[in-house]
Amino acid sequence: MNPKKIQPINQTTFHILYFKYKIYFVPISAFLVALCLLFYVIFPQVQQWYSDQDKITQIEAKIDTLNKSLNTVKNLDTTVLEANLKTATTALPDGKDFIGVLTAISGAAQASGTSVDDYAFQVGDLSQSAVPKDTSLQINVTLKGNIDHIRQFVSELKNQFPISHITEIHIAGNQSATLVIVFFYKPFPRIAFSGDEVLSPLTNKEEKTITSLQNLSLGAFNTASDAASLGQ
Amino acid sequence: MNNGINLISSKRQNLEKQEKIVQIFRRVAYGSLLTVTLISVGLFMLNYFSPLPKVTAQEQQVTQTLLAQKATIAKLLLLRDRLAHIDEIFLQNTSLEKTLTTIVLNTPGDVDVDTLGVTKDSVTIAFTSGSLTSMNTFMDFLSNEISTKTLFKKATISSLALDTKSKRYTLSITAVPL
Repeated sequence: MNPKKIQPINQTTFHILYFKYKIYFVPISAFLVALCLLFYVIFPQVQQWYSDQDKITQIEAKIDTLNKSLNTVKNLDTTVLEANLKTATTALPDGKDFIGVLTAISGAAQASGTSVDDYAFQVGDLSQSAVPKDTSLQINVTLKGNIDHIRQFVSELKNQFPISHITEIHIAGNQSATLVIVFFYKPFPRIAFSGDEVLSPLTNKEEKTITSLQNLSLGAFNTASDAASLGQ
Repeated sequence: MNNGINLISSKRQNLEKQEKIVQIFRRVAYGSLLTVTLISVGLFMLNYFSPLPKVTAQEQQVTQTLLAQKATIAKLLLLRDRLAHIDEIFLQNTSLEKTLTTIVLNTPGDVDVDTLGVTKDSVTIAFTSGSLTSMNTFMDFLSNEISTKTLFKKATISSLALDTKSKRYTLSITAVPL
């Protein structure tokens, strides 16, 4: 009995295999192509669609925010805005306003009937290039006048710009007084508007602050006018 | 007819089964391919006609319109910044004016204020009068301000002296404001 012969693999073998299984080749290929399309086309396209939908939602929300900001800007009266900004920057300048300070002191002195005897600034480091931490300018002022005049000076100084705080009052002998006054300033910040938040009009609180500032400056104007009309 | 006789060989039966399986397999494969192809084309069209470019263009248009107003926006933001800091400063104000005004208005006419020092931490007063009654009136005022917690937390008499020549009393008080 002959043992079963192992046939060598050659071209004939492949021909036999081909003719035996060729009915399966096309459907299997079709199935493979369908799988490839599923993984390489459909899944990425679905991901792309969802990603686009997310982006569209975000962009539409941003457009809504931008439109609201645009609406606010269009409804602003630029003349009033500039006037308010001028008032606010006069009240709180962006740098050490020595002329403003001296004008405020002399204005308050004139309105209260006192005279300025002497003053001394405490300037601080003039060479600093970074934004200073202490954004105030201290001045020691010696006034001549009685206690009532000094009280009036303190009251009148409130109406002057730049805005100030009196931190010390030393009255001596009903003739003179030394005051330590701190005038405020604040460098302009870096203005950045990203568009991610709605630019809203001024709030009630901000409007009240502007009105207070306008009343203060009006008070200074009226007092100066009264003083001028009395020939003081 | 005898149903027990099977003229078709088992081998032929297997072949027919195999052919059926192949047919089903072919239908499934071609059907899958067709379905997947249609879905791919559909998704492609969906993504091709996506409104994303239109929405992006709209965003850019609104942004450009807003940028044209950048000067106004900068002024508004700057005004906001100023007002916020002004509000902070107003809140910090310890109002020495109120203390000074109250003291001055409540000092009797025949009392002379020699020295008056007012800071946010202390008030020192030295006054002179020929009348102890007037001084007492002023002391009553101080006591009232302390008890009603209006102006001062406490007050201390630093000294009380009599100048026998001028017959005037000098009183020094140190008070702690609220």
